Formats: sequence, structure tokens, C-alpha cells
Amino acid sequence: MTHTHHRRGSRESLQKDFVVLAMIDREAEAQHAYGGPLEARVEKLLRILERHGPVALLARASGRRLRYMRWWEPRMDSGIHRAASLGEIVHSEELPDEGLTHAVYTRGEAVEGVLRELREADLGISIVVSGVFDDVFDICRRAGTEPHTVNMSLGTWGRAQLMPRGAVLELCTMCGHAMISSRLAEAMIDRVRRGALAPEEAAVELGKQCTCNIFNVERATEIIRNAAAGGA
Amino acid sequence: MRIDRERCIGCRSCVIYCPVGAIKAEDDEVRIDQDLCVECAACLKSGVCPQDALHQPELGWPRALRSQFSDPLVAHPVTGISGRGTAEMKTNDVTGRFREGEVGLAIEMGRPGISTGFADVERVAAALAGRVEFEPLNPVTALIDEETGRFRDRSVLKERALSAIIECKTTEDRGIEILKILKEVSEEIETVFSLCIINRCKGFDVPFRERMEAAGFTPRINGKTNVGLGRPLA
Repeated sequence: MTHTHHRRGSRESLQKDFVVLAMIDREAEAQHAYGGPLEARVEKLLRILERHGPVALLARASGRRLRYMRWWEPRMDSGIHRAASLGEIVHSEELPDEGLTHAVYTRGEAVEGVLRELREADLGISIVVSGVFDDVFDICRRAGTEPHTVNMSLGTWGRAQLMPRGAVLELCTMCGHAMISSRLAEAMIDRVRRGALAPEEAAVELGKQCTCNIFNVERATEIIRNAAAGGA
Repeated sequence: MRIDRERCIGCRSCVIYCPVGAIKAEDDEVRIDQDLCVECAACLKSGVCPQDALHQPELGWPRALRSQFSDPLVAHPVTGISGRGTAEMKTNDVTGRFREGEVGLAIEMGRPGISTGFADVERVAAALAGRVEFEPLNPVTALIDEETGRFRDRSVLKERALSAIIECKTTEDRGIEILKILKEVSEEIETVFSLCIINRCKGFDVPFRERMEAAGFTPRINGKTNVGLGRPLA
């Protein structure tokens, strides 16, 4: 489960890409249920995540994945996921019960707000932030939290010549489970170049393939727009 | 994954959705190369087929491993959770899985999007065996002999996956030696791996990062930070 890791791109692009992940440890919950019933704490967690404007959010409940993605309309539903608005997820009666929630943000200020509120709420739930380390550490300082453990990337080793390059690699690595094919990313860029799709539509089509919903549709839109205009 | 010949109209819409290029269009026919297909179901989940011609047959052993390692919605029998690895450092503030002075490694074979044969997974696991502590809850660990790094069931070797993660840990003192071993074995494999290095922080310092940089291994600028808001187990 290293899937928010290894995202590629320039520093400037990655600085608009944060994934906040909340994970519940079942053994710890069984042992001390820190801070009261889990259901109430998860509801607080979701409200905090919502308040700071994620571009994508996923919560797992009762075997289903409740997904919100900016610009995703019900007609774009891939058929296996319930297309839900952010509000529908947060106010769902089926609160996440499978231990994992993700939210994607494009601004450090939003992540700082999330961490500040989570620290004050003291929910006892593990929180992991993926992003540029320098920025995440600065955010921790401002929010009054301290990094506990880091997971660093030493990049890709082996036959690197097999990998896609440039914009295609940046788009594909936003789904850590590699469900976004490089051929699909190339086709989406090409369709935008030919005027057959808007960059936002192309980004959503790619994001639908990411079943964990950690794909950053706003960043992808910018990457696609630049690539279609002749960038890398 | 299979294509229902009665339904398929050869429109080729599904071809670009396959992460490993296993769906081939030849003349008027679309077919799936069963050797390359990793049973990730990305084509099926895309909902792109206008004829519902794609279908997932029940998979027996050892082909079922392809689905377990490739489809993020399929739970591993070992971990009981979907995904390819474990909670690793994500709950480390609660579990204490990685302690001060330790280094965790996650070697994700086939990532990003290249896929891997299990023979390459074994090659890397065997290079590490006896030198690291394999993560007991990891799906690859469940299949190997930890002393040799070899798969216990040799029929596994003909299978492929979109990716498979070897998870293990060592000490900060031995960490550089392990990275050098990985560098050597990376030149013997037919795929790629993405490499994760986990380390406990001391305040805002990351002790093993300095050692890596001094040895010529420079981490990328981005990664994951557990911000310490979980409450530890007793």
C-alpha cells in the first residue's frame, strides 16, 4: 500500500499535490477505542476533510467505495463505483468502516487547516500526508504536529527504459496501483490536442480508472493542457 | 480476462485501457494475450465496452495470484485486505512496526505500470534472504521460503502481476549494504522496481536520509509523512 508514493513531476507541479490519508488500526481500536466511539470520530474526520475543499475524496463503507471527484458527473460513472457528491459522503449513514479514507488537496494551506483541526480534535487516528517533504514538514510546524515516520522514494531501478516519459509518466503515477494505462494517457492528450475533449474531461476519464480515488484531477488537467499545447 | 466472441464487435475501444498492452487488435478481431494479461480488470472496470463483451472467469491456482496481486479491489487471502502490501508506516505511530534505528524497505516489482514476472520477484527476494527481516503480513512473504527467498510452490514462477511488493526491514547500520545489493540485482531483472525507504524521525530530522545521501543514494523530493496523530498501542 505504497500507492500515494512515487508520484513524478517537477517540484512546482508536485507542490500542488497533497494526499491526506487516514487509517484506522483495528487492533488499537479494539484495545482502547481512543477518544470515544469510532463512528463519531470518523464523522468528525470527514467533516474536517470536507471543510478544506478536497478535489477528490474516497471513503470505504460496507464493502462499497464512496467517491467524490471534482468535475465528475453521474453520467461519467464507470458503473462499479457509486458516484457521490462530497456532501453525500460526509452525511452518509454508511460511515466508513473499513479503515481507510483519502482526500486530495491542491494547496498547502488546506492541508495545514486539516492538520490543525485534526490535532485539536485528537481523534487518535493515524494521518499520513503525501507531498513534497520540505512543504509537508513546514506545514507540520505551522499546524503544531511533528513528523513521526517518513517513507521516501529512491525512484525506479532496473530497466527504466521500459517506462513512459514526461507527461504520460506524471499522469500514470498519480494512480499508484497502475490502473491508468500509458496508452490511455497518450490517447487523452491526443484527443485534447485535436479539440475532441476538454482537458478537464480527459483528466476525469483518467481519474475514473484510479479505484482508490487519489488521482489529482486538477493537477492532471494542467499536465494534459500543457502536453496538448506542445509541452513535454 | 476474456472476450465473449459472440458479443465483441471489434470496435477496439478497450485496447487503450489495458495497463500492460495485453489487448491486441488484429484485422477485425480483438483478443487478449493471456500470457501478458495480469487479471487487473482495468478494462472491465472502465465500462468502455459497449457490448459488455469483457468478462472475468473464475481463476484457479496459480493464475488467481495475478488477480490478487494486480486488482486493487481483490483482497489477498493472506492480509485479508485489498491492495498489494500492508499498512507499513501508515499506522506506525500506533503499531510501532518500525522503531528508531530501523529502516523499512518496500521493493515494488513492476511499478510503475510495467508489470513483473514472479521469477523476477524471486530473484530480488533471494538476493535479500538472510540479510533482512521479511514482513510477515506481506503477500509475497507468505509465498516464499524466508531463508532462501525462493517460492515454495514452483508453479508460481510462470505467473505475472501488475506489481508485487517485497516488504522487509533492517537496521540503519546495515541499510546501505542492502541498497548496494538491490542496485546489483536491479541489473539482472527484466522489469523495474520502485523503491521505498521507511525511517523513524527524530524531531524534524530523518537520520537515514543523511546516510543514504552520503553513500550516493538520493531520495526524491516527495513522499509520505506520518504526522504522529495516532495513539500508540499499549
